[in-house]
Order: sequence, then C-alpha cells, then structure tokens
Amino acid sequence: MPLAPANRNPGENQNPWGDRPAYAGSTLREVDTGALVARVMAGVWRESPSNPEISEAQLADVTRLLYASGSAALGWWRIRNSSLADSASGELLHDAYRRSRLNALIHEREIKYVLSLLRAEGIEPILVKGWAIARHYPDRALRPYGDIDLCVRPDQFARAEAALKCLENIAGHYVDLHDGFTKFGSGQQALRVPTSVGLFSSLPKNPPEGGTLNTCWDALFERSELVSLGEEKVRVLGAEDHLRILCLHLLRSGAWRPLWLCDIALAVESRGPDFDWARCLGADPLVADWVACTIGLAQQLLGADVNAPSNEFAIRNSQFAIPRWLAPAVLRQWGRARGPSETRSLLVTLVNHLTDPKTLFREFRARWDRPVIATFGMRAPMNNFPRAPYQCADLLRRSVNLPSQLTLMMHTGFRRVAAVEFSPVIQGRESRTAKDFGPSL
Amino acid sequence: MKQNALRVYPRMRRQDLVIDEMPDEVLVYDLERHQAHCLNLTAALVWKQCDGRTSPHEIARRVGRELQAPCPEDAVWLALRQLESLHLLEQPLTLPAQVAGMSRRQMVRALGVAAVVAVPLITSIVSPTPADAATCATSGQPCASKTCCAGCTCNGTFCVGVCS
Repeated sequence: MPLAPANRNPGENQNPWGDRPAYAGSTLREVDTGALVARVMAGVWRESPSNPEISEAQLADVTRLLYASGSAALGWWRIRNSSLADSASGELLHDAYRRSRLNALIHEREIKYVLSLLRAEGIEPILVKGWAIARHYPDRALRPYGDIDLCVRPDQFARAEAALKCLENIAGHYVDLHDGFTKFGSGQQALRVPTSVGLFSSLPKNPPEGGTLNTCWDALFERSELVSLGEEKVRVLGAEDHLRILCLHLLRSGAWRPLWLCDIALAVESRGPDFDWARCLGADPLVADWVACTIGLAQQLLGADVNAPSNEFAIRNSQFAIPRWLAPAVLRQWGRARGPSETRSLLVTLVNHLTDPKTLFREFRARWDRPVIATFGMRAPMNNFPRAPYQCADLLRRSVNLPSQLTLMMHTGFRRVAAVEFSPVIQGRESRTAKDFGPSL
Repeated sequence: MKQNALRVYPRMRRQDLVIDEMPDEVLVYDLERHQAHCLNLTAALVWKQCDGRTSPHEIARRVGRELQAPCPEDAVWLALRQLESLHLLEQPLTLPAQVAGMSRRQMVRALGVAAVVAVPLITSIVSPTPADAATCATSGQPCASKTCCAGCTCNGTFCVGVCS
C-alpha cells in the first residue's frame, strides 16, 4: 500500500505569511497573545463550542500562531458558526481544516498498515497519543497527527524494529517505536527504573531483577483496551494511564502546543464513570503533583470541566491548584508558537546574529525561558518557588551537547550550516536544515 | 449543444484517491500527485455521476434533479473540464468544439448568466499543513522534516546518538 510522502502537496510549503517567523510582527506581548490563543482554544474540543468573543483583527493576530502550533483546524472548529468564518483568517483556518481531514484519513490508513506489519510478526503494540486521543474529538480533522507512536513489549522491540524496516524508504508519517513506556515517563534516558518513571509509579517499587520493564509493560497492557478503527482493532492504553502520559508528555515538551492541553481537557471530560483518579495520578507524589497541575492548567486556561461528573471525584479539588508561574509561562510559549526543540544550534545562532543584538537576545531568551521543561527535566516540584535555579541547572545539563554540536558543524561545513536561513515552525518541512544540526541549547 | 454525438461517457477515477465526502463539499487527496482538492457541491455531484455509462446530457439532468434546480449542460462540461485537468477522471475527454474553444473564464461567464445552480468549482487546497503534532525525531529517524530530540544530533539525514 503506498504511503503518502511527507510533502503531500506541492503547495503545502506555501506560507501565507511569507518568511516571517510565527511570532514576528506582533504588537502584543507574548503572554497577551498567548492569552488570546487560549480564548480561541477554550472548549474547542467539544461538539458545539460557543463562538469566541474576539474581533477579526484579533483572529488575524492569532491565526499564524494557530497554524504554527498545529491548532488551525481546531481554530476553524471554534469559529465555524460565527461571523469570523467568512473573514480572510477564517478562510485560511477552513483550508487547514480541510487538509487536516484528508491527512486524518491517510493517517488512519497508515496506522492500519503498520499494525498489520507488526501483528504479522505476532507483536501487539499499544498506540499512544495521536489517534488514541484524536478518536475522542467530535471531528476527525481536529487533532493533527505527527508520528505514529507505538509502544511494544521491551523484549519484542528488536523484532518490531525489524518488522518495520520495510518502511524506511517509504515517506509518510514516521513510526515512533518505543520499547515499553520509558520515553513517556520522566524524560531522562538514564532513568529507566520503574520507581523513578512517572508512568510506572503505581507499580511495585522493587520489581524482580531483569524483568523490570516487561513487568511494567504487562501491567499496562492488562489495563489497555481494543478500540475500533474501521474494521480494524487498535490497542490503546487505559484511560487513566493515557491521561497521565498525555500530561507528562505535555510537560516534557514544554507545553508549547495548545492542542496538547486540549487533548488533556478532552481526556478529562470524556472519562468514564469508573475512572480511577488514584491510578491516574499514581503513587509517586511528585508525578501525581505534575499530573494534577497539568489538569489544573487545562481547567484554568481552557475551561476544562474537571468536575463533571462530580460525584466520582476521588481527589481533592485543591490538588488541581497550579503554581503562579505556570500559566504565564505556558501562555508565553503559546504567544511564541515556537517549540523548545525548534531553536537551532547555539553556535549557528551566534554566527548568524552577532551583529543583530535584538535577534540574538530573542534566541537566548528562547533557550532560557523554559521553566516547564526545566521543572520536568530536573524532577522539581510544581510549587511557587522561583524556577531560575532549575532553569540554570537545565541549561547546564543541556550544555553538554555543545562539543558534539561543534564537532558536527566542523565536520559538515560550518559555513554551509550557518548560511541556511532559519525558518521556524510554519511549514518548515523543507527548510529545517540549520536547526537540525544538533539538539537545541 | 449536441455533445451527445461525441459519445462522451466520463468515468471518475477511484484509484489512489482519498475521498472525504462532507455535507456541502467533497475533499479529494491524490496519492499519486500529492495534491488536495475541494469540490463544491455541483462539481462533486457531476463527478459522482461519472460512471462511464452516463452522458453529460444525462449527468446534467441527474444533477438538476439532485439540486432541485435546472442544471445546464454547459455546467457539466465546465466541471468535467476541471476534473480532467486535475486527473480526477480515468480517461482524457474529447471536448465538443464549442467548449474546447472557450476559456474557463468564458465558460464561467456564460454560465453565470444562465445557471440556476452554483457554478461547479474545484479548488486546490494549498494552505500550509498544520504543523506536525510530533514532538521531535528520535535516534534513527530522518531529521529532514523535524528536529532531533535532545541528546541526538542530525548527521544530515538521520538523528544519531542517544535521544531522550
């Protein structure tokens, strides 16, 4: 079955805003722009969200940010029954919605195909994020897709990798294969033991030697469920485990895409009457705090209805209280619509902008202003203490990549790398060359 | 027009197309050419009637019945012309002389006066794809389309190293 290549439309690289970065030209402060994004995204995961009370000019201000963060189809869903639908920005969002519908259909075909490859080898993967949460949205177009995130039993990982080898030369959505669920835990590669990984925190603290990851997998597998995707069945995590993964993934990624918080709001609102909050939060108090804060964030920024239905609420409301710095930090990210991983190599930045202090300052600030990632990366509690120490520590932790970046750049040709113009998130598939030279610092 | 004399029986292409039917339009993705199109209701109805056995005259009659308004045959030809140019028909059409000689704009203008139904219109969806929801590329994944996760570096083609 032919899979669609990454560049699915010759026109898809067209950027209606030219080469301007997503955040450029805005007269509002980032946090205000982020708040405007939040107003558009509030309740957008519901069947009939209310019309947003924003002007056409305000919509024009945030449209580029919605595009940049993959939330344009959601934006259309929010305005589709309002007078804004006929505006120029509305037309752009409508087009994004149309594309997203087609992409979703293609993505579903790809999921089925990939599952058939693995099942032919006797491997039963668990799909996380992506379609696993998209299926709850009222329209298939609303949740854009990136990779197909599949988790397989750790002892089957090598076989699964071999089974998917045939996809290597086929462009399309990439399959992100994970051995178990370690990646969705604390986010630190070194921390592979269950007791330190959020997802596994409700499991025994001292699992048998050698069987650690498989034991964890088995517990999660037991709680997973099979759901229909057309005539195919797809295995997804139990609602509690999935909500926790969504929360941890959002924190790990710096919460820069509003749609990730919509995912969480949707997961919370679509939970069943037997949803086990204790299982969702887990036994590790730190992780429970992170998860609760993230849900609280969805409540505060997007109006997620955490209390409905209220009678099965197993934990205190106060647990959803969030620290003072969290909401502004996330709104700043939304106002920037630039992922932490979108920053290019520090060395490239230095070379290209030594004579442009304004850009240089912005680049440095983008590297510094990551309190969410720093908190998560340093396994810090979500409290009201200043984040600066964690941000310093996180910056130091990431600076170990500097020598490898330098080596790679010297090897590849410093000038060539430095010459490539940086183009941020908006449809940068073909132009993301410079920042791909090494992890961001 | 006496297009029937040409014995044109258009057939819609089905292979390598992803079709999404919505209430007032049809979205089509061409897996071969990687193009996305949006057919308005009139164009979509014409396309759906292209079964390889129905003449444009009959298509016009059927579309008119569906839309509960008379549909001129010229409207069908206009739709067919667009469908053909976008490779949404199985075989190339032989257009009648009157239609072949007209520019698309002329046809639309001519239809604009007479048509009761909406002018069939197919637009290409060229908006930028919403940015991927994916976070970053891990070790072994191509890094042409997205950034490597922390800990990994892009060797020009793939992310290498130990990604977190």
